[in-house]
Amino acid sequence: MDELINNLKIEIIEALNLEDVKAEDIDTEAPLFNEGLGLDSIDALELIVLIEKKHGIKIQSADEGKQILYSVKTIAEFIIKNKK
Amino acid sequence: MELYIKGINSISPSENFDNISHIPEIKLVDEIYKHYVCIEPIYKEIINPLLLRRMSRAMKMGIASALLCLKDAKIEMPDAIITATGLGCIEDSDKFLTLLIENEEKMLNPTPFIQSTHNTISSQIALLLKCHGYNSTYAGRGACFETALLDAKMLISDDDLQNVLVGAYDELIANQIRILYRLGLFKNNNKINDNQGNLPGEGASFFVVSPNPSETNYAKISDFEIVNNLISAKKIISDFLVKNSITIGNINSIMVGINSCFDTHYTEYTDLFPNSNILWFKHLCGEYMTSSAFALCLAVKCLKNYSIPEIAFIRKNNNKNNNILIINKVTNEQTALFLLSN
Repeated sequence: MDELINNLKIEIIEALNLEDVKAEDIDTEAPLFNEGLGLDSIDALELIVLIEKKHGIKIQSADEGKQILYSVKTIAEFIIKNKK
Repeated sequence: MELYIKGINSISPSENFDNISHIPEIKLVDEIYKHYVCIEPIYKEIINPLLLRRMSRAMKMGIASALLCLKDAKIEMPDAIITATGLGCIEDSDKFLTLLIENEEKMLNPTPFIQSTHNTISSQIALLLKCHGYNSTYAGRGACFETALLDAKMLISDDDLQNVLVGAYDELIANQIRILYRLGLFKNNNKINDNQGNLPGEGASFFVVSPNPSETNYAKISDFEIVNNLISAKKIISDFLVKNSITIGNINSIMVGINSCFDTHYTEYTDLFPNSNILWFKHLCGEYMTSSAFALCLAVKCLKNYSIPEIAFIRKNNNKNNNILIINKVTNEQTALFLLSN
């Protein structure tokens, strides 16, 4: 889980071009949107593409997406739960 | 109707462009595919870093140039925003199309697609300023900047607007340079100043134009026109000058778009002005579809400062610096003319 969380942070920084942000700066349990990193709806779409491309898992609905993309921890839990 | 230029900014390959009296020779980038590259400002000092992370180079250049231009004009909110671009945000278009092929049309990243549209920059400027005024983008290849300026003129004339932000941007990307060289559109030597053929360039230039004369204005655009090349150079110039009640002998300087694909045509124009200075600008910015905007920026700086940089002269013939006529071939079929005075 720790390794996945660290990898996810690096992938998020790269995908969203978060200059000046390091993996250790991202709080694993903090909300990614509005607060925390202050991401927005375009970033949400980028994260959906990232999860599907890098981890082979598709988020099925918008309601489900809101909960999954809440924090790095919730994304990691979703990936572990759905990894084939 | 005359337009007065209240503020200007240009992000271009020219170093030291703010100091008009001395512009050094420009260095080309890349030994094989030689081209000009803009000298860019520190964007974090101009644009919110949170927004910067998603922006392509064209967006950064266009938005920074627009914001710096408004600052120069001391205008916080323009009445309208009009932009022009030959090829738009081509870096994002290139990314989007490459991903489309690589990912077999699946799992496409949204950002390059959203930002690949031509009107991205004018809309981003409006969002940043919270400007709800008229907003438009012209993407008419070579003549788009002239069309944008014409739109600004009509808005000022018909809708009584006071300050219109009008500008142009075009960026160069690696794939585009390779393709254009392969098509044989650029010259294949290292000589920037041999007046033969063009080298690819890029840039973003913005202006605040107004109907109001003021001592703080940079210059006056007395008239501008896009004319069809089927008409002879002599008739084009004669008609344009008669319309503006000015004679060939009264033109202090002409600024021509030599170092382009259309070099042979320019002698027809320069021969008409035996007593005027002949200036050029494409060795300072390269050839691109909105290079007229760079020429306009350079010319108004020369007029405002009563000084023409040595590097801009092809022929020095006249000590007066009260007006400049810009002549730039913008397409195979069209020539743009701008008559400026201080």
